[in-house]
Amino acid sequence: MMVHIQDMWKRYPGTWALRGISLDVEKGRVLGVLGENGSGKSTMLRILAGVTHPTKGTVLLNGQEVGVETKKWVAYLPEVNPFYDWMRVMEQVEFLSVFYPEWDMNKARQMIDFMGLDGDKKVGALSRGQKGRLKVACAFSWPSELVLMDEPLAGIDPPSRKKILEALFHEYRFGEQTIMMSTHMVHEVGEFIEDVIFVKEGEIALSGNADALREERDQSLSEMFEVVAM
Amino acid sequence: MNTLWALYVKEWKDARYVFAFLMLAIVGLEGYGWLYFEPDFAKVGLSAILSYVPFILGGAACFIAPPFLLARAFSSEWKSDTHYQLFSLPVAKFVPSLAKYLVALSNGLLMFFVAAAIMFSVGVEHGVKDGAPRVAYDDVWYVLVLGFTVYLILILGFVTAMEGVKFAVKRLRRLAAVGFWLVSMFAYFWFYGAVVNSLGFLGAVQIWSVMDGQMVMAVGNIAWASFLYPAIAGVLLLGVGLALFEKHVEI
Repeated sequence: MMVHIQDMWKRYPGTWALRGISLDVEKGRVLGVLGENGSGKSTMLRILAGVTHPTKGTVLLNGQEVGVETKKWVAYLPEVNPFYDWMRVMEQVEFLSVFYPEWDMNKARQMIDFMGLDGDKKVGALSRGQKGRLKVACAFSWPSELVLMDEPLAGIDPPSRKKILEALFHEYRFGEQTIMMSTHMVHEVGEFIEDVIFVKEGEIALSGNADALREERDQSLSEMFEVVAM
Repeated sequence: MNTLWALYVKEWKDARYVFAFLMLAIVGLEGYGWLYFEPDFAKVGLSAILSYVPFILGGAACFIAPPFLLARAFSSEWKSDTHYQLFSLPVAKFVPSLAKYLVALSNGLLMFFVAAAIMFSVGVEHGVKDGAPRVAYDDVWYVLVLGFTVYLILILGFVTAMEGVKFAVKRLRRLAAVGFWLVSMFAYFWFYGAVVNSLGFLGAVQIWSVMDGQMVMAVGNIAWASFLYPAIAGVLLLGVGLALFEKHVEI
């Protein structure tokens, strides 16, 4: 099992962001984490990425507790732009490459080209959409085992979104990478998702195989999202 | 080590413009002082006193700037969301903070060495030897360098610990950091006398005044323990800060 979460709770001052989440994700699956803003999906991914601690509960990645060791094979795209504005695009890529022994610079250059980014341009001079593309490029520049993508399409123009997702899933994905992708743009990612969880107010409102749920409920994921998660 | 070095270089680059500005300011001030320095008080009175002002300002910058550089290094990560990147790197969470500390220390020492070199050259240029303090037969510079280094270790330790407190608590962050600073300052001075006295066996460095090349008068003693205590306290405070970043700081 790539991800095992058992009764995970997270409290921030004045509120519970997660309330007893339990979840198992098998290796090589693509899981959509769907929910409205503030539903707790970003918090869940942050905990898996090791940048936030759960208040209580068990979280195991490939049987290991989240920490420095798991971060070596987890790629995390936060919802914000985490890059240094003063760095050039390739400088940022080279900085990250130091930390990941399996970083593939050729693949990184390929990804930067595919995303239409200029490697010599300063990150601060990129548009919001270009920064979003840079996040995706960095996440797929090395053969991580688990990719955590928090709103990966935010800021990217609608015509490019599908093109990017298709390329990521059909061309640039390394082997059997497990992918967890949080979003509220359900209609755009629906065809790429194999399993799905709908998160509402810190709890999993519905989960299962995406195709089975579609068949069972006779609804698209977007329709389910409106009924279950909103 | 490779990753700490990468973070250290990243911090240097991040601070390079502010550091360059400070260096220019220090060199400019002290260079101005070097050109217009007047060592003879009796001859020119007030203007001789004023000729020391650029050196005082340049020296003060070396003391004041490094803690602010360090505090800026922390706050800029949080302001620009780049702490997401730092925290997701496969290194212990204290390592990026240690890199920031080491860069602030390096910046401070470099500024001080440049400022001290200019002041030293003024002494040579103007033949200020008589009345200048000496340690045995040496100039007093190495005592000053040692003193500045332990000051820097201490003050940057305070800043790291305060930043650790600030980002570890969820509410009233600035108040918590200031509260920690007050309590730790109180503790530092509370234990100062007892620790320095207990380390009295280390002896003291004696500062002499020199006239006509001869040491004529002991003008002061500085216990070696008074260098050691702030260094130990600084390292302990650094440890507190790094432990907070490792265990309690999160996004």
